[in-house]
Amino acid sequence: MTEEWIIETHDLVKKYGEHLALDKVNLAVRPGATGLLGPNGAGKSTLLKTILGLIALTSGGGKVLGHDIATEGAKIRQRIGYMPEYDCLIPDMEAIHQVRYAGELLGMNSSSAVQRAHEVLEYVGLRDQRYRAVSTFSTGMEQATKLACSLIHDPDLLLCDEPTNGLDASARGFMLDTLFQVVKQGGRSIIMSSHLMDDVERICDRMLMIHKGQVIAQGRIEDLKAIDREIEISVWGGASKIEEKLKDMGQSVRRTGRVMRITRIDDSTYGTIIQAAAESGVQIRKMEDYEPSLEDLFIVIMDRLGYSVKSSRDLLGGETPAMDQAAQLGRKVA
Amino acid sequence: MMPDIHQVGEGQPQKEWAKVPEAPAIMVDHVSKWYGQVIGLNDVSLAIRGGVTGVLGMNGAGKLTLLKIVVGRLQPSQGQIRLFGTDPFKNPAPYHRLGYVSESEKLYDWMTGLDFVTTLARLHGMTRDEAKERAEHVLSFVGLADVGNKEIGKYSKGMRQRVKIAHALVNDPDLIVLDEPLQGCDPLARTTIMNVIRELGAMGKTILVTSHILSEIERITEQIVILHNGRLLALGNLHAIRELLDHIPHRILLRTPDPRELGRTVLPHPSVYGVRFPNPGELIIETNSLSDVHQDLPSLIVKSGVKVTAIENPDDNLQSLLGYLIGGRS
Amino acid sequence: MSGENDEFGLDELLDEVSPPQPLPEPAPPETLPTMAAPSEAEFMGESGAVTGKARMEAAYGTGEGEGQGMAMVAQSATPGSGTIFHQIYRPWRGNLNPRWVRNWSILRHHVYGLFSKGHRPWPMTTKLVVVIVLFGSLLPIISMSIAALTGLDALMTIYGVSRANLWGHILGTFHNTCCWPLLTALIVGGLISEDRQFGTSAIYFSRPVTRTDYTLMKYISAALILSMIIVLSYCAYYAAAIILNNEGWAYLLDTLPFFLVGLVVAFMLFVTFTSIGLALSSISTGRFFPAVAFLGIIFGSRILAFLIKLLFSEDTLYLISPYDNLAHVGQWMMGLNTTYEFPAAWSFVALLLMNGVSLYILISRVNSLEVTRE
Repeated sequence: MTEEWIIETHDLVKKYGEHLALDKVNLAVRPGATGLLGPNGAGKSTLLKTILGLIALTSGGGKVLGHDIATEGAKIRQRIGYMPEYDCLIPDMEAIHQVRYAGELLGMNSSSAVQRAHEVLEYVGLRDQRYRAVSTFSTGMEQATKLACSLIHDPDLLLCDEPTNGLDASARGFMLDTLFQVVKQGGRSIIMSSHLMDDVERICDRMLMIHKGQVIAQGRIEDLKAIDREIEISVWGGASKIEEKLKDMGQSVRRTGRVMRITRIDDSTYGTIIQAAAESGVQIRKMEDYEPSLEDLFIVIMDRLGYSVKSSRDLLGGETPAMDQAAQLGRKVA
Repeated sequence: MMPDIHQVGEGQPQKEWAKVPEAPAIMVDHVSKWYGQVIGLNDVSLAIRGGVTGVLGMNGAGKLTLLKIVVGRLQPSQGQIRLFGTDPFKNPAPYHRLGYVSESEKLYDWMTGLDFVTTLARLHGMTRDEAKERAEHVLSFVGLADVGNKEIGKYSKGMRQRVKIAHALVNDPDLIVLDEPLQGCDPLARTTIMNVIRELGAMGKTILVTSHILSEIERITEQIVILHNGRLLALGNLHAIRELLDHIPHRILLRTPDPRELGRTVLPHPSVYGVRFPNPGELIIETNSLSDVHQDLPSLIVKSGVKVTAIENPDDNLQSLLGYLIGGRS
Repeated sequence: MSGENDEFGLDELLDEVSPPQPLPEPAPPETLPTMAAPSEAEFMGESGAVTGKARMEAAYGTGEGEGQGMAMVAQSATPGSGTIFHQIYRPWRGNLNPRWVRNWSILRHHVYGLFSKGHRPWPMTTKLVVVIVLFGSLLPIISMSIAALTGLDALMTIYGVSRANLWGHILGTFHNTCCWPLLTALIVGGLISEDRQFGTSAIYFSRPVTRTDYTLMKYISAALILSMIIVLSYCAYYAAAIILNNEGWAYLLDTLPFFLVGLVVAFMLFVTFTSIGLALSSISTGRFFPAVAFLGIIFGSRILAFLIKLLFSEDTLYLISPYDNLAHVGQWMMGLNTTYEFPAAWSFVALLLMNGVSLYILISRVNSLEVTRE
């Protein structure tokens, strides 16, 4: 892949009746791993389908892997691997045949499809289970099979819709490692949508955030993040003691439970914190420069658009007498 | 730690149900559950009293079985359970104080979100108006106010998840059981829900929550229950559990410009049995008692006069704890 | 901006994205009030730094912070043992074959599935019914062999090759009510509806398979399986008659036209049945509904028309029955006496209409089929 942009679009518009699913979307995606973010219902799935060349656009156009979205859908899909969010496997079919069939549908010879299916299934960690029917698989194995299906033709671009959804910790780690290897070792590109910012951050170095059909941020994650001048400490045994101590020493402290953030004035702030801990006899279990995460970034961006994180005050603030009555009623009825 | 089950609550039907004072919200006494030949839960005993508790384990560890027994969807094959001191299988009254978010994706697709929550509120004995008011309130809280009149079938995954949470909260429950409440939610909804869970826990409600994402559990609570192959593996504060595993050396990572000098100061400490210098500017202290070392560490650093810019416990988190507890025998 | 120059990115972020409205009207980027020059520091200043509301509560932040937690561990732990595996991404740079190879693999997937593993997993019941139907349709051959062996001419006249028997093999009551509808219902029932149910439409549509190819190959697969049973048994019957009676060229010249007409009728039969069956399959999820609905249409319309005829002596209503339309057109083409009172052309038009409507439903439904599970 030598193209500088793998996806380039201008003013994509897609209307479903009155509903505007994509609103003048201008994308410029470079090779590598890109995270596709956005709140629920932002139009992520529509965008992925557009990239696949499956959607008849209302207006606008663009190129994916050098092919025109509107006219060369089939060529695009030959070079893209798509891993859908929902199940897409024939339950009673064996994993190996499933993957082979996925390859044949792309136009692979059946002999090379079989050989490649074995290779890919091994790559996603299904070695002994590949002759088992998919209906007997756990969620992690199903996701791995889906990934194998989309990797069989060694695509230039892999689209993953929520690849870690429903996986437990070890399966999730494996899936992320595998995807990371595809980018790092295989040199392929990935566009991955996820609600788990940790996952995105682990694999992707770029992000693309959409909301209500519009692109609201795109670029390198590092560039978008601000450098925060705070030190985070986690203490053990007497958090309020050290908080007071630090405040006495003239530091500004924000505290939630055991975690505190201290504004970093200069390098001596570290010394001050340790001094305070030594004097108040509190253990510092963790002290590090706070680095804002992608999740912070997401929330800040959404905050600017007028959506904020709510707390239980919002839930309980409007507590009505009716509810108390109902609660009492519930007790009586029982 | 575990009160005797027969001292709290008789389980006899009472006309006016009330919580048994001093009884834990959930008490599970030597409970086992078999599904035919398969064992779902194997002799589990625990008592949970207030606060948020994370239930952890691999897929198939028995998390779901435990939750289902707590909410009354399954009856234990052996053993007993008490909710607020009452045996729910004799007197179902405690279920009125229970909110449950199930893992199932199935909802009444043809109902609007508002109708769905209202109907469930009415099942708790509210009048039509009260139920509607309360349902609207809870829906706006989970951020679904503007789509409350759309059919659930048209909702996205995250919206469905939030409808489930709304209906669990509609009766202002004292005991809330949430099975994967955050799955499919965007970060905004996720953070909101996590905040709420934590704050409700701080208000004294008892909350059981499962999640595959360990960092989420870490952000919600420190109190955890670890199940593995149907057995209770560990229970309590996650850092305290880690301290109990004292045969696995604890490590403290310090970043400092002069690690050797600091190492010299720290080494005489009785609980320290080794220091290493993995990279330039890094010092790793190995110990079998994290508490002892951390207690004296600040003063030792002050004494040595060395500047320290970071302190970390690389293996004191949920991920490595689970790894130590169940990693070797899955 | 550090590092590479992204044309997009911070500008986008800084542009005042209009707050959510029913239908936001984003002005062209140039006219938007840009708050500040797109540089990192400004971004921070503007937002008041990303303070990380979210992470404040990480790990330790959930307790009170004053006490030291308590815990119990049920079992002593074993040291963690991880698994080391070597994942090597192997590139593959083979050639992808053109369209007809892809289509061939769809066809093979469905048809081979009846015989061997590794292709479409047909349910056991379907395979069993296929075998039973095949045997059932070979019954006349067995009767003929008995006639030939025993030399009973009477039996041979009943089962031997004749216009009526050739017609009857395809369209006669026994075959047309007991065998073919059941076969069609089971074969066609799940073809599209199961793709909808399991989300497997994604494996086609996310690859360079167009909807036309998809529909066409599903249609051909279904029609091919049906024709295999129907045409195979028909040809076997004709061949058996020739062999058993040691017929010569004259016989062949006599009967071949009828045989060929029979083939055309058979073609009409499985095309019509496939159209109706696939249309039903495309409007439902699961294989149960289309199968039942198909049998319902075939038998229901026939029974209804029959009752009307009994009560009012009016048989035009047979036009709604695919079975009777086929039978009628078949009788006319074979030159048999028709058992219906209206002209055969009406039946033919009705057949065309049925096929047309079914194909229309099929195509429009496949066009609206979601890429992923609905």
